[in-house]
Amino acid sequence: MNILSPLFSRCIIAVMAAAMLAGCVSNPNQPAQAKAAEAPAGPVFYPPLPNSPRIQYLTTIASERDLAVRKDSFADFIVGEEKEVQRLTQPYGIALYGGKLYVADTGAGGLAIFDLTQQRFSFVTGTGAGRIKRPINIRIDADGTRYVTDTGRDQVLVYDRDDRFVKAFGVEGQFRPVDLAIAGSRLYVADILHHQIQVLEKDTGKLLFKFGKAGSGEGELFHPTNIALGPDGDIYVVETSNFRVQRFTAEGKPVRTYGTVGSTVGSFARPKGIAMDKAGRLLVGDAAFQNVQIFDNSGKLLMYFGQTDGSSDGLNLPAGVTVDYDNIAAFRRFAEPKFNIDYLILVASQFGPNKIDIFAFGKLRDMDYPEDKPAARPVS
Amino acid sequence: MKPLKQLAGWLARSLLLLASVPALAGTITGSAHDFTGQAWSGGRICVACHAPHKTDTTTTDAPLWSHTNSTATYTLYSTPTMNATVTQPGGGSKLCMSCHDGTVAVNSFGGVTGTTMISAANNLGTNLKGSHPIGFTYNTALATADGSLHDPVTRTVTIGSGTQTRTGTVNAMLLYGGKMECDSCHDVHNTFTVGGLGTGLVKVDPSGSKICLACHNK
Repeated sequence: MNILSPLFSRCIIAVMAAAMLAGCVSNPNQPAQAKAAEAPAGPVFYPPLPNSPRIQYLTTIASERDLAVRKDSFADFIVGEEKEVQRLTQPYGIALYGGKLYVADTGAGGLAIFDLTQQRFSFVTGTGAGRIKRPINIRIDADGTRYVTDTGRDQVLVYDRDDRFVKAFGVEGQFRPVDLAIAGSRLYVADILHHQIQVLEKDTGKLLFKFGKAGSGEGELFHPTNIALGPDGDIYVVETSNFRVQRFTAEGKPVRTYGTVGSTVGSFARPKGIAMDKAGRLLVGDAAFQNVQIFDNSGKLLMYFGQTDGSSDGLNLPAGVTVDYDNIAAFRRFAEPKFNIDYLILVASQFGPNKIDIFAFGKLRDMDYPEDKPAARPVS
Repeated sequence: MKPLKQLAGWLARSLLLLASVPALAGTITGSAHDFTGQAWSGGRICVACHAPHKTDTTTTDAPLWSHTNSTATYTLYSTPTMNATVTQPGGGSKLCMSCHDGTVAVNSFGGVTGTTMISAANNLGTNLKGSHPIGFTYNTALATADGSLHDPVTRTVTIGSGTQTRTGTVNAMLLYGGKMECDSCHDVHNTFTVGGLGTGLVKVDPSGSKICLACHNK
């Protein structure tokens, strides 16, 4: 019976199939309600209303499709996917520069680059001497030079502003770099193999000095992973296996430590990513708590964020945490109009569907905020 | 008699070395997760994964900006929003992956988070090479649908070696909440393992692919 054209009949079947399948998709934990597949209904604030919020969740980037305007999902189902969608696999470090989002994707073995202005995605693996093996973090200097820490090659890979490989720092057995901080003309490299920080000259890679040794005393390190430069010029190192953040001067003299091991709020259980904001606050991601905790410079816990009320996915094995003041415009449209944004917080989740979550730090207009405590007295 | 003295010294030292190498199944001490010899955390091994509850109440832990949840404690790796779709691995697996993330020791996962192995269309777009998927429910229905898997409820397996062994069904010995996790094949405490240091803390002998054949009917 060829009354209907083949395309039309396929459409009818597809519609019926969609209707039937929609009823089948259910969350074993919440069988009664249909799970929201898209973003949560209202704005997600931390702390939640009626508290005065300091952070708003903006959006998630997990694949190249998150760049473009969301297509009508029903039309998608009918027409189908034309090609493989490139997705993030196991991201760790994130950097924003010049309107582009750079993600070190450890699982995929390369850099995923999301061009936010041109709405384009590219994946850079490098070739020959510049081949990326197992990237962990990426840091970008003010002049656009990219530094990628690679634990597969045990080197710091240097690329210019056009993503062309320049050179690699690190000879065999020198270090296993997990992260680095760019401070003036120096690179502070966290060496997880020898439990120390190696300070290199940024232009030549020459080793200037090292500090730290295996242990858990003052000035000692164990599994230093991520590292950030504070606004005061000090170096803040996350020691994942000592469950603390240790602060050093630029010359490597220990200043103090923050945090201890524990399962309570304000402790650390699997701290990894760290970022510093301009007010000297520490933002530390914890892969055991699945959150990011914010401390003021004196070590007082201010708040933590990362999970939702259950209506959508939260952070999942968070790794890299990055703070950005320069690219707010690219994500402004996701924020509440009355939310004044100071800076963006980007968090990479190594697992789950939400690979890069982007948050805004700031204040909601017309709400009361307690006075921020003045800077603590210097620690003796 | 200097050379003799030196020889004796060398002999003594090498005997000492020999004595400390083998890590017998049955104890975490001497296994790949024994961190005591590495001068951190005061020689405590367990704290790496079993974070203690803080009992010190002299410091205020209440978050300054958020007055809710000020006494929250976390059960490690359970989130209040655990979605528990079949793509979510159990807490134990996430604990493994929190360290084995490409920075220390073995990079455990190439990003594979399989739902089931049947339909590749449901796969979250990650490549299948590199590691066995985890976090999926392995039950009789799956075995029937797949056709080349043993029924975990009837198939028996023995884990461990030497004096530390245990026998039971695949479901009881290897699965957690009915799911395959990292600890389905690996025993992190080195209690029921086969092989010494450096063999990956596996529960079943990997030689002859016996460990694979515990579940796969090939």
